[in-house]
Amino acid sequence: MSDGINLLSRKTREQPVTRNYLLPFRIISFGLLMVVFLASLVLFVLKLQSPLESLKREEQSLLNNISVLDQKRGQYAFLNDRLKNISEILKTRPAFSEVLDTFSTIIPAGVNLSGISLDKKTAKVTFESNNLTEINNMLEATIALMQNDTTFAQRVALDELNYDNRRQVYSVAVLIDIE
Amino acid sequence: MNKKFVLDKGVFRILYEKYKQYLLPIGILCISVVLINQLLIPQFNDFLSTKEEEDEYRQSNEILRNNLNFLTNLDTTVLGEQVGIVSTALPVDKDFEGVLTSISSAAVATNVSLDDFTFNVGELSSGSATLTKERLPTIRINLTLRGTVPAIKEYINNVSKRFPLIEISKLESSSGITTATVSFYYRPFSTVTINEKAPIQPLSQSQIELINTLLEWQKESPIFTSSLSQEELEAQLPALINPSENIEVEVIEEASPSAPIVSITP
Repeated sequence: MSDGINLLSRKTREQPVTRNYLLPFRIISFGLLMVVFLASLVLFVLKLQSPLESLKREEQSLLNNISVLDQKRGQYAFLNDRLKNISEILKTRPAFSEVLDTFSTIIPAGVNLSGISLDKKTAKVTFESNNLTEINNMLEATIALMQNDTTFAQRVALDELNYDNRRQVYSVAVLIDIE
Repeated sequence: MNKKFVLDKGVFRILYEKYKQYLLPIGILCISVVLINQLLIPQFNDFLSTKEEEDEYRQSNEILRNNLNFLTNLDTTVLGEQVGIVSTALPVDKDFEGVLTSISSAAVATNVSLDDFTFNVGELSSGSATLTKERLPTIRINLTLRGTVPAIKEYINNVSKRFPLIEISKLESSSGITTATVSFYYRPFSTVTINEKAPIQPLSQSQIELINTLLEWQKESPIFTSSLSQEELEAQLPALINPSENIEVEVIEEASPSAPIVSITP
């Protein structure tokens, strides 16, 4: 069958469709190449302008300057280390002296401190008086101290209550749990 | 009709003639894709990593600058005094002289008579292999004191605020005689390795308060012996410092039950 018979040839019908696809395809492909080129160029320029090298030089210079002060830094590290250890020691050692100091403030006149026994976390304090009322006042003051000062001790317990007939003296031993 | 399709030169020619206009854009597209994969993406990743590196260097330099400023402004005299106080409070070795001075001067100050005492010093050498890191080594002393109970109380109070620092682990006082077990702390020198890029923290408020407390105790103590002179410390420090690692703390010898060591890791 001859193509010439048809008024609109098959060839001329397909050509515009092909051209319609070709142009955007060319634009996209060239555009993409240009974008890649430009992006690569921009990244290259940005990297060239990066201050990394100057930052490295600055770091080296700072390190050199600090190395001059190594002695001081060592002393400061030593100080910090000791302070941490001293702080731990003071935090963990039993506060016997503080407890005894606080306890001394409530001992009324006429009551004498006659014995101290300290063992790890417990302090045993013995006091004596020839007046039972004073002993009672002392015990009441101890209870009041416990109620008012919660940091004083965890627990205070009456350990012993004795009467020495020969000396005519009452003695009371109190156990104080420091932790 | 069953025609056999033959892929020969003619077919390729026809296809080429028909689609030759597409070849260039397709080639460019392929090159673009290859360039994106092989050049642009690595270049972009490289750019990002450079940026990250820049940020790291900026931060690191900022820390170094602050450290430099801090160290430059640190008063050497004050630092030396503070180091002197802490090294006396917690000596670097078994400070027998300091210990004897402390217990005897506390006895004198509180009208307590110091009868006899025995030292349990542990090993005299300071080999690090046998030691644990958890606890501070101590010198343990058994004391016998004579004095009234209030005087003993004062003695406890007094000796607790003297250097080297102590811990009374046991005390029995009765009929004028007191026996006590006292532990003196010390802490041997250890290798201090400093991370150059770790920020140096200024002393905290609690640390300053602690120094002030120690200073008060030092003033209250009539006899003060420094366990380590400034010159001795300065002479020993360079050998103990290694840059660019963490601070390691090694503890030597017999342990005390209540003083765990704090490792410094800046």
